[in-house]
Amino acid sequence: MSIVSLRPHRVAQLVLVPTILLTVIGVYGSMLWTLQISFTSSGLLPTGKFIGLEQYFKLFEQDRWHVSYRNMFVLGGIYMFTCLAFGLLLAIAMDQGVRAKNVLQTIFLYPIALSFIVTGLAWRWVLNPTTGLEYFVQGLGFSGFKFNLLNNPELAIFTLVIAAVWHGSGLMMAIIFAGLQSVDSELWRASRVDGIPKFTMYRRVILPMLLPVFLTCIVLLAMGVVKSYDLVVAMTGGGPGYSTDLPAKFVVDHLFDRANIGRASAAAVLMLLTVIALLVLSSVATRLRKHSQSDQGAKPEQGNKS
Amino acid sequence: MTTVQLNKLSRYYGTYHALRDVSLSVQSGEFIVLLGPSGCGKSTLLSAIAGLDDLQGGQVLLDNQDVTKQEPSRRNIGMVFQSYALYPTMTARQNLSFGLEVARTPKAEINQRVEWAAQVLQLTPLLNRKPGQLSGGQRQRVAIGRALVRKSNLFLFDEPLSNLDAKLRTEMRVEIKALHERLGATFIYVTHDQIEAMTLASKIAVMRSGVIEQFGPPEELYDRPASLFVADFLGSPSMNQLAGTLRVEDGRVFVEHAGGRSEVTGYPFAAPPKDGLEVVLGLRPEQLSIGEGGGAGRLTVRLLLIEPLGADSLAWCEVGGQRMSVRVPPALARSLSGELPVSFAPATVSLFDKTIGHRL
Amino acid sequence: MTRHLTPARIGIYAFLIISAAFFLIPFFVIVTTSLKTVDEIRGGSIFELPQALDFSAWTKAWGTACIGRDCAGISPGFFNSVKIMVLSTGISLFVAALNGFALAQWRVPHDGKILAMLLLGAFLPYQVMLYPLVRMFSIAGINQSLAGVVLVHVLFGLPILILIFRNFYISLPAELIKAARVDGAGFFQTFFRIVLPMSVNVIIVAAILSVTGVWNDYLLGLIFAGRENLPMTVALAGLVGTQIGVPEYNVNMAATLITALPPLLLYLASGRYFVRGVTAGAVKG
Repeated sequence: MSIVSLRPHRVAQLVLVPTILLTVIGVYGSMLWTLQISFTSSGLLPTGKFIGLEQYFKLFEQDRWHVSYRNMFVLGGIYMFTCLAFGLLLAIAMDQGVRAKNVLQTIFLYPIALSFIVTGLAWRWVLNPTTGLEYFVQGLGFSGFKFNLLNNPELAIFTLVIAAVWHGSGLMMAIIFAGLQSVDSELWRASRVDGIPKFTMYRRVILPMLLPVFLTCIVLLAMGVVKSYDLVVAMTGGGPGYSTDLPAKFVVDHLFDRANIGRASAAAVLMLLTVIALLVLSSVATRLRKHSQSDQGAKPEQGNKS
Repeated sequence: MTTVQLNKLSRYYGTYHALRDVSLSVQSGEFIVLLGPSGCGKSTLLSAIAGLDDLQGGQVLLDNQDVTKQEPSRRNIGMVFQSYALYPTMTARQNLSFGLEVARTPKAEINQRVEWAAQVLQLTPLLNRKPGQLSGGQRQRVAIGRALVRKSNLFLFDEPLSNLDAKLRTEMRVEIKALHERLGATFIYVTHDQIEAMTLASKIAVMRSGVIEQFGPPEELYDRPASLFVADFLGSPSMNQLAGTLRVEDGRVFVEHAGGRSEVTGYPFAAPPKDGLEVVLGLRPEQLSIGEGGGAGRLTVRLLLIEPLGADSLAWCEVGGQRMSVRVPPALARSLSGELPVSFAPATVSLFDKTIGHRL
Repeated sequence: MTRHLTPARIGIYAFLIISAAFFLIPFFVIVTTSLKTVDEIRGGSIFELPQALDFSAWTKAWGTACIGRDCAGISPGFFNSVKIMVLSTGISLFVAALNGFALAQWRVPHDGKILAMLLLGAFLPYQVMLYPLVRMFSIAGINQSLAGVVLVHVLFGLPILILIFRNFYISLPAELIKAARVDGAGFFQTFFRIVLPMSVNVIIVAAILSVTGVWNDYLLGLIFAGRENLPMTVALAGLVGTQIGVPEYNVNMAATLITALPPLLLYLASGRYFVRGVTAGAVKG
């Protein structure tokens, strides 16, 4: 039977087959293989023998893993909060009918077009203690000014936060701003008739309406944090020492530089579990929200019956 | 010329039965209207004839050829869709010629057919415009033209006028009827608008819940509806219905209802009437006349209000708590008030078995 | 409506202007540094303007700067990135459009589950798949090759692109596809003659998402492209990383700027499409 004589919906099904095969093998097959490797003693090649959860135990004994995993949450927490808050403030400010909105939006959003490598290198240069911001402020006469984050193991992680916020908060602004713009203008007119202050309107009415938008933003930011690899490579290389290491970098280093694919796979599986936990959490959050909404809708009826 | 024969078509989506063993026989050159409320299966039936939807059972025969498994394009049909479904990036001309190009018709032939269709539908000056630059009525014409160029003998219309405003709808209705007469082809037309159905059809198939309730010429459906559903669906305002009990006494037949007792002797019963049967007496507004000159059937009604419609008026009355309408000449309507005697000719009215809804 | 400059509005403008400065500073610093000489950099602050427009750092970054032992600048990386980007985006868009159309307008059993499976894959961290993919690619003979890096970009890029196309195609009236079927057009004819000409906008949005994604990638290029095909981001990181002696910051920044320029120009040129592209990527499922 030639292609021409096939019914079109058969053709449609056939068209999907390569994509499905590619994904099932490339994504899900790889995932299972990684899971399998994580239970073995594999070093350079995936040929190690089965050792159960040994790799996971070793991983938990490794200080570098603890630092990277903790960094993910420290970086993630501060980054997500700052990004959202900054993006929200920018969006609300933009929502006040300011001039040159398009120019401002272009400025706030352009970092998203840049790679993390470029972002990292640019900020490394700006934050460079001998030539950058510190030197500049000292030159202004504040000779005691210290802004040497990059070389401080305790604080270097915050340089990542600065760069990541710079890269991502424009997108948050754009998403939240779109949400704000979609609010029915009658609502604002009604609030003016009722004499409700703008700030109260935002806090009590508008922002609760945009809750789904915030959930989207949070999921988005969280996925970005888990995947972030390039930024660390470009800015700190994980250093000083491994103080700014992240799980994504931990895995890649162990896979390709340290030839310890068993350990790397175990770490990757833990990353996967973290992502799955986040996904479950966000879907639970969405469901809870829907649930509470339908509860509120049902209350007046119950009142009538009793 | 094309005949259409549908044998026991069956289509269900999960547990929902869209078509239940539907059979229908269409003669060449007929104008068939599939009429019914939304969800009755009329569009599914049209899709089945077109071959756009797979069937779980039954056969579709076009000119006595079984085409059940054939692609729509092999069935040589022309189809006009509700939303017109014009290809938005193509000009009207390209819209008309696309199907022929796909079928590898020679260029000269395509041009000739497009010119012909454009001329029939007065589209010639619009051929180089895109659908976005055409008005609703013009789009409708292009959609019909796309069916026309296929030189098909079977045209399928899926609620083609429902997106037009009232005035255009009337105009296009006349045009479609004229087109049918000009082409002499078989038309099958889906609508939920009973006026379209009455004015266009040579035969109407009224559908409900995946079943054809009645199939016949419009007058027959209007005058002798086979069921309460058909009686209710056709006619505006719809048929007056009086529930009651059948009484057979000395060869005379009566209906006892909340407003009294009306004689229906002379009604053409299909089977001998049974005393005590629960029935519904169906009376079209124009089958009733004020006074006693209308026939042997009598009723007394109380006038509620008069609704003038121009050519005639509707007298809305009440009998035994049941509302009913009587069509009266405007001059008479102005003089009416209070309790009125009303009469009808039993031979022309409808009687239904109340429990199963079928005509007696 | 005229608005008076109340203190609140002055505050809003001040906040927006300071924020704009925060966003612009790194770019300003990259540009000015790339135009300075090494001496100028050593002597002055990063916020000073260059004394003269000196493009020598640009030509060096482009053509003669050393990455490891190769001293050909980042231009080979640029052309590699173009190759990878054109192939990956072309293939991804074509496959995604076809797949999106199939999922949106044709009866495909379990279409919801198929889409969910594809999208879930897009959420998973690459790290879980990297090593097995490397092994599979070397078995297939495409490890460390252009084909390999393109395939991996297609694999990871497809889900979201398919979603974008599907969401667009699902809004097309089903009757349009039926009309094409009555006209005798098959799946591919309907797709190429009717659906594709209607898809210009969605193709632009998807292309922007794909182009920036592929161009800005570092990890996949590093692992899958092989020495001959390393993309520009990897070349840039290499260039900055391999300098011996006094770092030539002007060359570094020139290279950074050249790497950033293509997506940046695309962003400035495409405006609203770009925002739609990145937010389409953002608002998954």
